[in-house]
Amino acid sequence: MSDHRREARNHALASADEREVSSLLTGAGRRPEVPDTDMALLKATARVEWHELVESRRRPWRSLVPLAAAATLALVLGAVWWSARPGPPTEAPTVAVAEAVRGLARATGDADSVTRGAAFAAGAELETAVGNGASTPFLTLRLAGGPSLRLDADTRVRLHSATSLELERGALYVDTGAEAEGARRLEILTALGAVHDIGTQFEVRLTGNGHPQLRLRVREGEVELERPGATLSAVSGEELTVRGDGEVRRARVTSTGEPWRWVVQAAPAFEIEGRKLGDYLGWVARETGWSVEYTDPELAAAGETIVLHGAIDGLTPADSLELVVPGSGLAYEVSEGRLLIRRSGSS
Amino acid sequence: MPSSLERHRLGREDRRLVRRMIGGDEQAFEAFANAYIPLLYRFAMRRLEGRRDLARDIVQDTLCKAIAKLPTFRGEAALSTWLCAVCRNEIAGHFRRRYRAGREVEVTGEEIDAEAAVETPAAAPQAGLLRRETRDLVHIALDTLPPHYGRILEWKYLEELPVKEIAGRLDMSPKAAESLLTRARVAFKSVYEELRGSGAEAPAETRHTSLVTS
Repeated sequence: MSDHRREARNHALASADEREVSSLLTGAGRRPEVPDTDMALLKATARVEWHELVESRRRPWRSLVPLAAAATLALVLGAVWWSARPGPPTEAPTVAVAEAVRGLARATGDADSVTRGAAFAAGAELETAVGNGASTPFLTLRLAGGPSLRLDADTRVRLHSATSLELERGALYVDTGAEAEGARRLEILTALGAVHDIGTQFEVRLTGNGHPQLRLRVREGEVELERPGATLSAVSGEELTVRGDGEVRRARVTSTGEPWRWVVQAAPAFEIEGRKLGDYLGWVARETGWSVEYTDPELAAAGETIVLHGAIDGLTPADSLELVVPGSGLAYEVSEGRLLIRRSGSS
Repeated sequence: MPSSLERHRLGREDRRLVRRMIGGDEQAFEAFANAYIPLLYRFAMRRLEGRRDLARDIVQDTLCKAIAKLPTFRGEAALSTWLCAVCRNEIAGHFRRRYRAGREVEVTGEEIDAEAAVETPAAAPQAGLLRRETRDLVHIALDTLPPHYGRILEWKYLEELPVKEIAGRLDMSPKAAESLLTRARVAFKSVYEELRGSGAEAPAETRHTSLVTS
């Protein structure tokens, strides 16, 4: 075959191929895109993991001390070289992602309201609108590292990092989780002191423009309030109020009901798909403050063997019980802070 | 599939990207996230019958495991293949955990075909599994290619961008862009034919899982 004919043949084939590819692609259309909220969450997750990977690769030299002088010198030189390398990202890392929002919430500098899935870097300032009675705004965040952070209405907070926040006004609720794995302590800075959690659920509320007052309510665990010259602590069931003039008052606070109503409404969704009934009931208990009890031991075992499917998006923990418990062939009642699970048809 | 020389070149690009990421290169991270998160998401969605929340969770777990394991990536397989393998393991693990004990309770929604979720299209005839619509096969083929191949084909044939503009977007000469386009077309056709040949027979079927105990 001559070069000319070979070239013409190849050109014809290329054109036919191109037509076929074009036809297939235009017929199929675009590949589905990832929803913005999911993309933001996934990218934030990936970024946290990537940071940890990069940092862990920079740490090894520190664990090799102490050594013989020559080896130590080599290590020091190596460390200088290592730390002189260009650092990882100059862009501030993501420290929180929005999990739920109601009403108007904004990050300073952004005209648009915060939406679910929005990611926030260190230094971000977030603010929720004032409640109007009809519907109380809130913003629920997941901090990098796991703790849940909820902002009540008319609240302004600055995220210094994933473990250091500054409350300028309003109220925050923190849940570091039932199984904090050697969790990094969270610090909340306020004009009246710094709050440090010790693995817990608590609310910090800063009120009174002219006469500031800090109120700390602990639902579970223990919290320390560091003030000039003194550190106060509060444990589960305690409420600590500190005024600008230094007066401190303590009171009891229930772990269920009205004091935590806004917190329960701001709870992030629990995805039941594939989860055990026991896990779901544990989530309800954690959010409502109720204790879960079973009328007999066999039912308690059922919590570990019944697997749930579906979704309860948009339902509060209490409302979701109406759907999930009867669907599992069981019944329930709530009385005096106890969620009692019993067999359907029994009393 | 791409020629062995092309595979070697693509493997080198993948290894370079991974090395840059491990070194803390922000641009490398952005390139990785923007290319491979959508790929993993679509991979999971196809296998989990569009169950978005579950797919998102699976991809989240996949990203955590895969990024932690990046230093072990050797480039013997394409990065997309390697990542999808991690994702497939996560999906399999999810179903193993889910069916380890007990009674299944349906609150809302439908069951997912667990076997289909972990099978690959190439294994479809052996499992007697699914007939893929052409659209799905095209999308799978695009996702199987290196990310920039899929992108350049979409720019050319879906957005109808001229080669000059494609070249500008990729910061290369029009001749280089034309060459890349040709390679992408060849690779796409090869992958598409392979997928079509392996997965065209069994009718689509959704069934409840049989892993229910009392």
